[in-house]
Amino acid sequence: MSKKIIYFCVFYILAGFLWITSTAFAAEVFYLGGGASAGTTGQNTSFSLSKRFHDLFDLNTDKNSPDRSGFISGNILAEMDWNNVSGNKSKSFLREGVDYLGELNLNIQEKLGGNYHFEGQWFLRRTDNFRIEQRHDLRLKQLSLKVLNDKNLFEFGDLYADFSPYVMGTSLEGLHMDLKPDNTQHYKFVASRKNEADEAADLFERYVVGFKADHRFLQDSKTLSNFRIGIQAATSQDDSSTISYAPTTKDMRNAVFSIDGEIAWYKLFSVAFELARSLFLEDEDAAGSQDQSYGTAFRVQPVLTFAKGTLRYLYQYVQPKFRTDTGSAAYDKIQHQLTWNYILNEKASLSLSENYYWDHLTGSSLVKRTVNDEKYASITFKPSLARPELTVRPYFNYFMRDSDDLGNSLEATTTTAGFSVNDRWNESTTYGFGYEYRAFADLAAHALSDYFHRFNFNIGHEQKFFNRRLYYSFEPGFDIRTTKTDRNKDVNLIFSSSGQYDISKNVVTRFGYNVIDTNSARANANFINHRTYGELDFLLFRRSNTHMIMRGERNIYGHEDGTQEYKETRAVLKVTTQF
Amino acid sequence: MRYSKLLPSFNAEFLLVLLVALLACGHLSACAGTMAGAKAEGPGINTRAAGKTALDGIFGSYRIFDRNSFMGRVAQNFIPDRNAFINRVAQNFAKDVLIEFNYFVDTAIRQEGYLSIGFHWEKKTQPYGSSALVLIKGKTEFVFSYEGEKWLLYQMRGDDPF
Repeated sequence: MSKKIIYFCVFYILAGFLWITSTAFAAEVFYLGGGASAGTTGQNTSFSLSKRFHDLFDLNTDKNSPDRSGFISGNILAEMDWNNVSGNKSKSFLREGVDYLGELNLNIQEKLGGNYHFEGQWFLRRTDNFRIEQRHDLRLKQLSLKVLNDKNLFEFGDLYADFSPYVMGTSLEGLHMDLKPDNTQHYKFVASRKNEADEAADLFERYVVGFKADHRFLQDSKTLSNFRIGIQAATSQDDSSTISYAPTTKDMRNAVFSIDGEIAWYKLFSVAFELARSLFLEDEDAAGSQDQSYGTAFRVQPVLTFAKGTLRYLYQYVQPKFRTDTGSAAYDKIQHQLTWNYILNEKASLSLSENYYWDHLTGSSLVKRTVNDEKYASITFKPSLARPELTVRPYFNYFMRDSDDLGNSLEATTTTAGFSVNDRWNESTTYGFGYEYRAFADLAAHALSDYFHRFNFNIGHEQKFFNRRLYYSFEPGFDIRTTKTDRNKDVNLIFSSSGQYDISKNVVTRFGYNVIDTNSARANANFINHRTYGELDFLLFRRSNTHMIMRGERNIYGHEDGTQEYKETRAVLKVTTQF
Repeated sequence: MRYSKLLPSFNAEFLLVLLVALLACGHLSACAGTMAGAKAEGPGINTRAAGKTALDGIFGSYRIFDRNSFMGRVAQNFIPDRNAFINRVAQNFAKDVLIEFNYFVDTAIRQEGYLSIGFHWEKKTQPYGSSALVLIKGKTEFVFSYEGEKWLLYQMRGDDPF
């Protein structure tokens, strides 16, 4: 039944497409454009069928020319990887042998009747590299078909649907309509599939239907710069007939309805809010009506904007039984968050934040309440106006966690303090360095406490070498970790470098080296990991941006426990082009 | 979406694709044209490239982690809770040494001010207090919102790569 709905929607879109465009028909030529309204502002010119076919496959003239009715564009990738692994192969992601990858990204744009235009996008992939795809046949990874103008959108295929945080914000496959009849009204409708049936993952096919209606009030008001009220609803429903025998798979049903809005006065003070109610049934096949659960969620966010900064407050109340499959919410939570951003002067700005939240609300399944209190402060400081890119950022974060059980078993604090400095030394050199201290003190089970010191440094430089551009960067760093239970320290040394040299106008080489050297406090756990790569990039045809890239990689993992060591060697040949 | 099988032998198909690509490029370049400016790119190419850049940015700041830099990659209105997300990432980063992280983009969808990237990933770590290497795989959707001329992480769905 649900597949029939999707097929009907596709037919509806195509029928609507033909209805929109069939406004003029001549005996000899079928005009896909509008009528004789070529002079109307925003209306597309009429094009003959032969002109449309010519423009579509004309890959040489300017695609942005106003005389064109449409164009095809895209890119092709063909890649061959040779992989060799020695040592403990179970520790490597690679599989020995040769892998092939082909990808085609195809886009079609076409002007239609009135001021509508069509956009089609296809992304196809075929590979025998098991890291990229489990199946070796040709896969249509992404399909998107749109008919749109500046007010209305009709979309079919892979889409991202966004209604409101509690109701919908997720990628789906199906039909999406976005309509703006005028400046005060806005409607959205979605009929789609969230996921295919997957027996291995214990999932039925899931369908999603939703709608949203927004209205803007008092558009001409000088006091209110924005006044919008919206209602939206979405349902998610599993289809248990999509897997023939699934005794453990749950047949979920979820519905969420919400009212949201935004009000802004003189662009100085604004409030955004949302109130939502949900219904959730974890397994429709096994449950009775008493297993349905209902929950409420509410958020409000006033923002005060003044000359030198903003003050933002967020309150959220989400009941334990509130569920949203296509939206986003942290269940069983009350949260207060206050953020103040202030520009002290032309050299410095300040950010302060207090975040206080807890769980174990009425109806919660948790056995104890966890209370979290977090404070954050940072300053962005430009010490010298003569050096506008010199930026110093000290920051401090203090996070306390407590529980209301006997003994406060979750009591812990996390203290993070650090700074970063970034600057441009001259036209060709940038540098930066930073330090961070992080202390996690588990005040209940002291054995879990740990303390970090992190240092990092980076430098990037560009110069001429034999009159060709050479760029390289280095990023050394190291971490020191200590715990309460071990007098030894974990010390990690990290070094990354990369570079690029323009050998000629059409040939570029890139190279890099990365090493991680860990001296662990634990016995028999030291390791060192080297990663090296080099590649040659040949620009074969500039007009079509065609590149042939040859790349070699060598990864060596050495471990104190010799049985875990492995070595990887890769050679990659890749050709990409646009059209 | 649905797929179909086109050619039986992938090796021959790769060579065929490569040959067609090279011949097509040669034809395109040889044709004299007075094309002005850069080639117009369809929405799919820019979206996929923007998605890879956004993913490189956030995973780059995760590899050499400091809290302030990573926070700069996360949108102020990250849902459901920005601070809880950053705290969890910082906490997980302190549990092990990150050795390798690779990702493969599956879908890239742009909708108004949002960029949704579906990808699967593989990660190799050695936990502190352990001598064994751990290999993890997952599938995730990142949604970015465009703020201050950058794509910042707005939402995360699926397996947690951090």
